[in-house]
Amino acid sequence: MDSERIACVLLEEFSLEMFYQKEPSPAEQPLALTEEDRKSAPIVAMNQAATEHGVLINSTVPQAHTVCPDLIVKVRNTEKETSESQKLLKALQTIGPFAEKGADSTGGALTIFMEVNGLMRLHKSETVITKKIIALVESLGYPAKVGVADNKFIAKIAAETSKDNRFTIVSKGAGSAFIESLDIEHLALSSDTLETLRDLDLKTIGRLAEFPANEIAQRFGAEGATLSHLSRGCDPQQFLRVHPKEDMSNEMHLTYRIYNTATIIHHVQQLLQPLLTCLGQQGYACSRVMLKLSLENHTEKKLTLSVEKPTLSIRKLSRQLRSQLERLKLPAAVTDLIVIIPRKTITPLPSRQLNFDHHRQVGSMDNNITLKDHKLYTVSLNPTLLPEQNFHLSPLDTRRRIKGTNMHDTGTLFSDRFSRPATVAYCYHNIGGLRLFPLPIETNITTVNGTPVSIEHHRGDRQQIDRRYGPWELSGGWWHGGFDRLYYELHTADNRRYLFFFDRLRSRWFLHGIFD
Amino acid sequence: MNDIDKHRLPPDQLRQLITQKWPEAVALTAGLSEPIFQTGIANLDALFPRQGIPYGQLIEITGEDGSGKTSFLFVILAALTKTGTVAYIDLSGSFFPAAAATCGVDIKELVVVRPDNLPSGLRAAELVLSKRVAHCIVLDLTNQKSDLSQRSDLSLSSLLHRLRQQTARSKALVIFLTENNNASNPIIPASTVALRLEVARVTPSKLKVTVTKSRISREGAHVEIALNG
Repeated sequence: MDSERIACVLLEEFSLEMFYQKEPSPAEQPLALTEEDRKSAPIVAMNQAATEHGVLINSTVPQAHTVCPDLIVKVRNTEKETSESQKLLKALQTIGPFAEKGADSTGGALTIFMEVNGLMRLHKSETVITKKIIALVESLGYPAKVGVADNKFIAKIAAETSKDNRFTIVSKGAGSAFIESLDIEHLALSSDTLETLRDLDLKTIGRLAEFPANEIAQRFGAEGATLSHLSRGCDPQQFLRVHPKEDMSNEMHLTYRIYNTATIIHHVQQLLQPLLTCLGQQGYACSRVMLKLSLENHTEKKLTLSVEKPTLSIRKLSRQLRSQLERLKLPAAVTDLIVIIPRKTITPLPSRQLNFDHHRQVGSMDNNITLKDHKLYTVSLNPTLLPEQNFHLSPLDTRRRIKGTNMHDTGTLFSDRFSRPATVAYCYHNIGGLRLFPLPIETNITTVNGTPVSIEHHRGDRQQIDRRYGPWELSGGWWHGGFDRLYYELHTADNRRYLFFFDRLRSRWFLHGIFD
Repeated sequence: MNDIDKHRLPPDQLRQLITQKWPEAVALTAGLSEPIFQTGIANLDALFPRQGIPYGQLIEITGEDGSGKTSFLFVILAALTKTGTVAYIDLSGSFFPAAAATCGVDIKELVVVRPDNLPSGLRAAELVLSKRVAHCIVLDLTNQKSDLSQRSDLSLSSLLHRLRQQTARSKALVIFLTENNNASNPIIPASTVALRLEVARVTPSKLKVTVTKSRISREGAHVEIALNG
């Protein structure tokens, strides 16, 4: 399967364009737009003249007037913007069917994302598609920039950084290399985080990506976790295909009467199954299902099945239905059934890490891959110093697989396209077959002039060291705690290889792994 | 007890007798209908009648500490991840994905489960198979102290039995990675696995893999494998 390719169509001054269409005014007149007509409302968009006067996005109207007394402040026309953006979306869907409006961004810009994988069958290259998109948007009277990349985040940055050509195509797998030299302000951080990072001399995205993900997450919390993903060119946001525009429903008119709970549940399942399958195929799930039961006595009962997290599991919904029906005790037999999935409760399904294509040949695939109490983890590699931080396990249901970008997690340490570590900073030979203990085991090592000569294992036996490589000094962790280790690769006479380190902070030896 | 029962051999002895007398026949009839998996190691594949290991089997890779069994496993996983997803049930907690990546394992096709104990691990394996999450499962039992064969816990043997049935049904491959520090007392019962490969290190970069038990090939055969790097 091809990796995902996304185009981002960026209309930078969309809100201003809307305003100028309604009330034309000279470009040299400083102009800013707010969301609401009140003094404390923040400024959401402004023209070049206002920027030159030092007006800032998110500043309040009085603050803006302090720096630019001539500033004209108007309320943006959200209704017009919505209708125009829908027109644009529809127009772009004539090029490719899968287009999605991006979240409102600062500066009154409009972003629309398009899936371009399938379009490659129609057009010669991504350049042709991009030019076609630009021509279409221009024909509607808007100047546009376009970026094409492996995910939405990089595509948007590519569009933002496009200058003369008005489009930038980031080739497959080159996303992290593309963003590494860019300023961290492209990451859309909070002002506090941006300031802290600049104080720490982390000014480029590449510099930020060099730091271990867990350290950034510890330092900046949830924002840090997203930040570390983005800085490596991975976008946790999924591309949303067409969102259902109305409630989804299915109904059944019975020529017979049904009384017992099990039969009602069976019929509801029959109605729900196609709806949930349809949602699943589009990459969505639902968190609420409404049920209308018409009864023989000409009354109607309404039930609502709600789950905490969006689901496609028919079992979960059935369990809830059973308990509700048992509590309800229907006064008469059921004659008609209607199942409705409200549009508002339909949300994107967290994407899975697996490529199931080959399993489909074996048998039907169960969409629900939760393994009761067992968590499935996916692996990503990190270019960090410490061996135990060289990899990261993420629960399968919370982290999105981004095809072709996992190798970016590997950074310089795991540089080539097959994710093979080029060199590591803690041993001499190939690390293939290394088993790393979850907790390093404290071990007695006899040394002569600081050089290890024999190992005394915890089970009591002693082994002479035949060859030794090292030490490699690994120290750091300046954000918290800190570590200072001397790593040795030790070979014994019976061809066994071990990874040891001397912890200089605690003056003790630890067995960290065995080459098996 | 009638006369027939007196002469009836236990299944293991009968199999041993037939294997001794007609080894080729046994090797050729086992797993004929199953798809096969080729390890990519030509001389190892050549040990099997169909030039590969049939799916639907339980396999054990065993060896002492530092014998190279993990390196050998990773070589096999490198081939397996080319064709689909592999689930690694890490009971030892010592699986190091960076090392696997070095050996060519496609970590994008790898999912890891970290259960608390052995029964939990076996149940996880069964669930992974039944959900068809992966076409191969590795059960890393390297730190398991007590032997499954010696355990009085009946649920474990029934779990193993179910796992074997599920493996055959789903036409997947289950690989047990065990430590064979006590050769006379294997960690999992001999009757459970269809193939046991014992790994020993000849030189730092060369391994000797011996077929110590097999229902699908000749027992006692061995090959030498050179490791990269």
